[in-house]
Amino acid sequence: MTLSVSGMLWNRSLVMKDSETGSLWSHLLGEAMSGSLRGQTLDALPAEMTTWSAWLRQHPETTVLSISRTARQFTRDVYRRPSDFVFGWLVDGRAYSASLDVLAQTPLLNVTRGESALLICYDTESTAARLFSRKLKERTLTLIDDQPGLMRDKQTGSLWNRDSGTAVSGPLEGERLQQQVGIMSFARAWKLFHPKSESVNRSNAGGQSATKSKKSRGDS
Amino acid sequence: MNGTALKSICRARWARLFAVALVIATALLVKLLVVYQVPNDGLTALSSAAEQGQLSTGRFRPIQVIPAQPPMTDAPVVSAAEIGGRVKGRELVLGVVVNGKARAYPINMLTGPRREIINDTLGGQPIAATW
Repeated sequence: MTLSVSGMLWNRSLVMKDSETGSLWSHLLGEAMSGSLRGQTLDALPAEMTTWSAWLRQHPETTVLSISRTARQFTRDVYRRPSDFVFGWLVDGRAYSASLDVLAQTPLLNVTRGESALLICYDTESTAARLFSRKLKERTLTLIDDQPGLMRDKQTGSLWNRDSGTAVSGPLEGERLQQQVGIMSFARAWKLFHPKSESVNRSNAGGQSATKSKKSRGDS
Repeated sequence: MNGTALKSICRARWARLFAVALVIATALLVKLLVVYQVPNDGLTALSSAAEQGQLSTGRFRPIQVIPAQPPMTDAPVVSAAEIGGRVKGRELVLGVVVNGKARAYPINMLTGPRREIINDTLGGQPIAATW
């Protein structure tokens, strides 16, 4: 399928078109809104907005798009007002977001909602935000700060690379946290398309289990 | 056509262009950074956000603000060494890894309506990089 810019906006957001059927797709939702493919959704891949220097350092073998430059202003300075931005994600169709100023204060945010256990890992230098699942086989891990670029899980003490989610030492060395789709968005746009989105911050990130562990004192 | 009529036509056209420019500028404010995996065979039927009651943005009523753009395909890619200093360290890129292959799409190459979606193949997988 070949996607193109339809020239249309919906709620001030890009509408894509596929060349094969002419169906119109909401860029924000990844869903065909009209045409013969109406109702179909595209699979989003985990990707990140980051600085070129950070990406190159993490992926020295990377290739890079090479067309003419059309702008100069899209550097990490775009995020100079972090409260204008959120990192958003969906779990079972429910939307959640964390404000960029929350992430700047809490670069590792362990989030629990129902059955899902996720980690938002924010890099204050590159402004990249990543979403990982904290579930690894039978375990649910809790990740905490360690040396720069590294995090440690409380369950085994293994050290993990924060960029790749790969354990570099300890009992879980070699394991990898599954990366999931999270999207950096203007806060207003996210709210417009996901008005029921729940704002996650440090005090509510743990969800029910955080409250329970305070009362029961048994949880680690 | 007399001078007065000509003047008012020109004013109207500029007003329209300005309005369109504003809308596009506002549209640029609602960017998401998403890379979509494009199916290369039939499509899997997945649940619709609208059916799940997530969609509260109202009916789908798109507005045509600029002409439809031709798709960007066969976009050239080079190695990091080849791009050299053409992309600066602080500039933002949309980065993705597919089947072990990493690629960066510098945002400062992607402004201007046609380039907001790049159709590409990475690690053997058709993808669309869009922001």
